[in-house]
Amino acid sequence: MGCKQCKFLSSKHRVNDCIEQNVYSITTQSTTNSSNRTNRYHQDKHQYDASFTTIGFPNLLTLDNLPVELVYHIFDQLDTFTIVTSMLNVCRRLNSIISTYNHYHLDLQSISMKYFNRLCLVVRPEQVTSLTLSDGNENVGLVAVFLKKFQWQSFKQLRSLRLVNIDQNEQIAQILLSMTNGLERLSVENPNEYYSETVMDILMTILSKKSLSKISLDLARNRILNPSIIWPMECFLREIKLTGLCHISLFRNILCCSVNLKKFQAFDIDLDDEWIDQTDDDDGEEDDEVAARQMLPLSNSSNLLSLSLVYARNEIEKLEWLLPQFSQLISFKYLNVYDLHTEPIYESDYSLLDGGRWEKMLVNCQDFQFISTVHFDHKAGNVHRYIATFQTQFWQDKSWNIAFEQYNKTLLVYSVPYPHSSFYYDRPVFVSIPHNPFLSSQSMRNVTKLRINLTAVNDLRKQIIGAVRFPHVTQLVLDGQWRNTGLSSSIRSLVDLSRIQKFTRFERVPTTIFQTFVFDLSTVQSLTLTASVLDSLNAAVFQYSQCLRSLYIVQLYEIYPHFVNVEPFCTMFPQVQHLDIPVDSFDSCQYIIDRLGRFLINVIFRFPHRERDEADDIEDDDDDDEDDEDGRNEDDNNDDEDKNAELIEWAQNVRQNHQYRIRDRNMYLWLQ
Amino acid sequence: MAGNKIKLQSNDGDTFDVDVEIAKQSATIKTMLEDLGMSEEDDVIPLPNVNSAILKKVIQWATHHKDDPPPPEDDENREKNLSDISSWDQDFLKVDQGTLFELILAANYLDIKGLLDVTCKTVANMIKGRTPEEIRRQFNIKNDFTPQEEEQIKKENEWCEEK
Repeated sequence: MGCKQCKFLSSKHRVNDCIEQNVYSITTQSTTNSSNRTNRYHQDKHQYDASFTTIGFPNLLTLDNLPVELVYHIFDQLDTFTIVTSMLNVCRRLNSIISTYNHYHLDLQSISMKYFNRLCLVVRPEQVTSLTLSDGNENVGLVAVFLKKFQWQSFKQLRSLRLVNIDQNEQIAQILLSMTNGLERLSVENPNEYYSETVMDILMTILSKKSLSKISLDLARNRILNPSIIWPMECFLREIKLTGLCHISLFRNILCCSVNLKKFQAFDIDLDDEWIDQTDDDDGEEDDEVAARQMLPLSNSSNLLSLSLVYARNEIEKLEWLLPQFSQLISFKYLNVYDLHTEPIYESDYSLLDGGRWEKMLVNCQDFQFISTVHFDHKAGNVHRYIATFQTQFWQDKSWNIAFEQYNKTLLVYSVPYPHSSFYYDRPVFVSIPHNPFLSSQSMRNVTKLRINLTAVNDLRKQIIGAVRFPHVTQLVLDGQWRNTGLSSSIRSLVDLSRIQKFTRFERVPTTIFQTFVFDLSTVQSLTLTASVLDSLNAAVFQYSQCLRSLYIVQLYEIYPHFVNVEPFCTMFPQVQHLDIPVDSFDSCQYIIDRLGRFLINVIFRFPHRERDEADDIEDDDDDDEDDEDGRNEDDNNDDEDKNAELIEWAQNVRQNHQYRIRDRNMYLWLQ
Repeated sequence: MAGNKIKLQSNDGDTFDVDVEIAKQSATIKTMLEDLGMSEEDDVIPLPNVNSAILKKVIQWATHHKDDPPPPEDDENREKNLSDISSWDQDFLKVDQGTLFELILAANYLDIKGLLDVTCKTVANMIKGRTPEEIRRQFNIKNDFTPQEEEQIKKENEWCEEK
């Protein structure tokens, strides 16, 4: 029923009703249709205008009497947690604005159960435009609870959806089948998924929705490699991001069926099935013809404006076939990166270091981001001849600057600024960066994750003066022996320690120096350490009194686990929200829950794996060959079942109101 | 045309000569010039919702940012990053709260997205990490809940106070 007095005021009345309802308890879910932003704006504007002085400004302008549209704009800058914990219940007017704000970005990852329940009361589904839903280790069982509480169809304004580590086929299918027609962005991230073919078919069907313009798929790698994926015949996507290698036949399908596609990103395009390697035969000229005949040109390639290959391995001949087909391409990213800490380089394709060949492919491009990492030794010749090919008029006209860094047996070549978020810092034997102080200072501005080989930074402080080289690093890993007392200063010359949010250290550390170092990480939220580092900290009577968001304790060698001494551990870190810890007994688990339970949001208890048992068996039974294989498997299975039953029984009784999951002898608990 | 000036008039009568390209960072002024056919040289553009002091600040901001690339289109998934305010903007916005909110109003009226974003981010930074009581003190907001409502709110907030 509308207002009996006048039609014009009906919306205003609804707003006032809404305000009255919400001042008493914002948690009551109103079934009344709340007015939209425009109605609120006009209603609020009357109040606002009334407070204006004759020269057009309110006497005392503050957050409380700012027009509602602008309070919404401030809310747009805030995360939902801040709106719910800081702005809710400040005053009646802000409560009414919160109840009508319809642009919530809900991120349901790594949150406590209590906060989740609170959100369910404060925010109505129709107020949500962006949702991240996770069933990962840090909140096991959240999706099941979420699906019980909400009907997907209620999320009528949902424009963006991100699904993280949702393993169950029924759950992901239920969510995907309920997608509204307004969804514009979809991201599915689950690198360890085992989705059924039905789920994959549903996912592919979703991609044909007219509203959908951006997708990001991070699924098991072979899903994307697999050319049998049936891409929808017609889709309207403008941006596609695939985490993995894209098979050429899938790439052909994507281009063919996605007429609006402007941006495409994948690890690389896998051309191998169609490509005939010219080096297979001696007769080069004839092979050129064969390759050209075999590789059918791409269709519908002219629309693409941006192509990013972020873990590229293709040789330059393949790029010379691929790139000229994108006649409108203005941005190209080719990142040939390796994890130099773990991945030895044997690639020695020097053709990628020929600036002249790149010139021919990049004539029309406006943006070129490039990293190439190659094995480099005396056979490769002088590095300066490669540098010269990137210093011609073409590169100057484009203002593209290419830097070279030579290490022991590796050559790193990149466009400036370095176009990747991760960097492994080692001691270079030669560096060539274009002579430009601004470029030099900005060359590493994109790096947020830095791994430092400590043996390379001894006495670095004496070499580097001025601003830190990696000013935006928030994640720091320190490798190698830490002996030098001046090492902390050297690290400070590379990164701003006050910006570090995640810190990782596995090897032993000098106790007192490391303690001071950890305290210098003033904004750190997450530590990843080993039990041996904890032992060192314990020796220094370390105590971290601030609240730590995450603490991961890693086993370097699972076969010979090094367990944490839980008593001093709980004294060292009394306020941890997310904990991942190897344990050897239920007593240790109970002790941790009792001591840290007030702050814990989730905990992962990792029990010794079968490999340990097997290692023990091998040591104990070297001379005993009589056990037959079947008997052993049967015993192992029984052991597994017994252990799982034990874990389940313990997990069920750990406390009230929690969710748990048992997997691979690990116990995942979502608390509070 | 480069170097052309227009006159902007504040609501208290002051007139400012501003480069057209700088003034066009305001979508409102741009529309006036392009759609309503106002000429650049002779006409004075009245801005009845902006006073002289604030208009001067807005012109200062727009002059500094005249060569900035166009702001990226809104992305639902972009991380809400409150720390990406340039040091110049941080210094520029070291003003009293009244001026800050007046700048927000002016940026909204003149439709200058960059200025609106950075001023709202500054307010958001003043909010983040504070309790409702601290917000009231920070922004001089009266607690207008009844004792009964306060009691109810207290119960609702138990979930975070236990921590």
